[in-house]
Amino acid sequence: MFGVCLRYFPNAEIAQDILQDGFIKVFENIHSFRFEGSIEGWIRRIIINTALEYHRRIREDKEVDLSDASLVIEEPSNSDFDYRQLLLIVSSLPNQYRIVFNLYAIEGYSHSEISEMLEISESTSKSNYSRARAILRDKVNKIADFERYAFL
Amino acid sequence: MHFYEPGAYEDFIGKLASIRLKPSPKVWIAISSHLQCKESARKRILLQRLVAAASFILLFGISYFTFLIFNININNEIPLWGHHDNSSNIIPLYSVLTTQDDFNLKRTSNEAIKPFTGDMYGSSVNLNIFSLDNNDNDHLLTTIKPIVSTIPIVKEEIFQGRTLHAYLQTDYTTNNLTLDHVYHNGNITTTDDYTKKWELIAYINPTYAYHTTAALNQKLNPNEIGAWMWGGDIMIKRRISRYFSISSGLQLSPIGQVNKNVVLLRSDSYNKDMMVLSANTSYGVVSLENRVVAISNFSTLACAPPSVIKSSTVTPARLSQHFYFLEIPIIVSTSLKKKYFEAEFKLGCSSGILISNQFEVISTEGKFYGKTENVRLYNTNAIGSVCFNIPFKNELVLAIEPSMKLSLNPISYSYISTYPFSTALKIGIGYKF
Repeated sequence: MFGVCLRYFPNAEIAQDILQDGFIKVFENIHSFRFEGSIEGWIRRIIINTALEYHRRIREDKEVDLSDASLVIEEPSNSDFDYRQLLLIVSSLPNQYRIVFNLYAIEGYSHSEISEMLEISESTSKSNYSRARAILRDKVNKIADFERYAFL
Repeated sequence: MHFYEPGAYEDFIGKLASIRLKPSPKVWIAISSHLQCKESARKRILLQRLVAAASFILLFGISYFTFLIFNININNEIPLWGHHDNSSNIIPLYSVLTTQDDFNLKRTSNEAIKPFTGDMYGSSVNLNIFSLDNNDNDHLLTTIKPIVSTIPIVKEEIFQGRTLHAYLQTDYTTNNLTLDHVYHNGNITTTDDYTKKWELIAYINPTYAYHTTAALNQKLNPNEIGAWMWGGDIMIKRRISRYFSISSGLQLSPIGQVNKNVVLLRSDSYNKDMMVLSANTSYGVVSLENRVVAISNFSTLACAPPSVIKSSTVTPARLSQHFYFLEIPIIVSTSLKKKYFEAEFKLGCSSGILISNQFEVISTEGKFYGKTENVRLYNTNAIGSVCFNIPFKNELVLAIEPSMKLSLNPISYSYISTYPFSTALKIGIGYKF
């Protein structure tokens, strides 16, 4: 879940705050879990909602500093690739784009659902995702090209 | 046929979705402590609500009980005196006085009195109001104009400094006793108790103040005890019905404690500044601004560098922390009255600001003063008390009131589990007007 938080806000302190608030909600509302789906999915949804609440609170479109995050995160379980690089790429997106990208491309929500969650229009959601994808594709391709040349 | 092959972007999304990271252990500690805090706060709120509910039930229970007692008196009337429209003679009809002597007194006081044998409830009677003055027992006072549908009731009242046996009127149809009207010397007049609706009361309060928890850290504060202090109230009370009153005013509310187990260190050389040591109490941290002396709890002293202790004179000291709040209370009370004696049950709340925060360190080295740190500048309290009113002049009342006050918020921002409370024996003089 910490990874989920970092995808939405690639800053360790903010992500930990969201994780903390999210898990407090989980423990306080555990009685309302109906055992109709997976508990992980339920917790994930609460964490995402908490991240969205945080996003609504700040509503500031500014770059997030990842330098602090790298100091706090401990023992990544996936050592086969550098998670820092991935989060650095995501952190280059403006907040709104990053949220829409995460909700659409990773969580699998539709644009109409995202428009309701973020209180934006459906076309804005599509536009945000399109721009986020363009930015990310560009960066990822550049990195891939760089790695290919470095390999040669 | 060409199939779509995932590129670097799709690979990136796949890797991003599968990031697994462990948060700092601090997060879980924070979650745990937060949940514990919430749980204790929930329990506290539940307790407060229970106390509030119990208090209101008690208040209304007492009120109802009081009402019931008075109502029983009305319903238990014994026929004694009365007067029929169609008869010129005064005849016995009703009384609330049950003693035979009293009955005989009335019977023998006038030859014209005869027992009433008619069906009182079945007939539509117009009854007169009479009064009988103790100073003039030989005759009944003359009758006055009949009051329709009333039943005269003999009641002993204090009126203008004299004991008066007066017939009070009650509504025949509703049994609603109107005690505020007494007939005397041809006039229907009122007793002072219920018409004087305002009362100004000044209290002086010897108070024992302490807090609900023992010391936050028992190792640091093994010897904290409550403190005796003085407070005072000036209250104005308004009677809003026969049984209920509401009062407000100004209260000087003391809170404090004494810690006998602190040490005072004085620098051997007066020119040498002491290392700053502080005593940790349940009401907050105290430290002296004087640069050649310092105070400490024993345990923190043990943690201090040995050079500090070696170069100092160590003497035991007594620390008294005193806080005074100026508060505005709102108190609702219900009263039980029997003859001249009145008991009032009071519940209320108060809110106020801190006007004095001082601690005093007393040792053989001298007295030192300062302020406890990080103390809240306002407070709110729940108040409960029982007041015994004893009239000793027409308008003056002596009030003795054991009371208890519990703060609803901690006094220190640092120690959220320390809730001050105080018990006081208020002694006051009230003036009714």
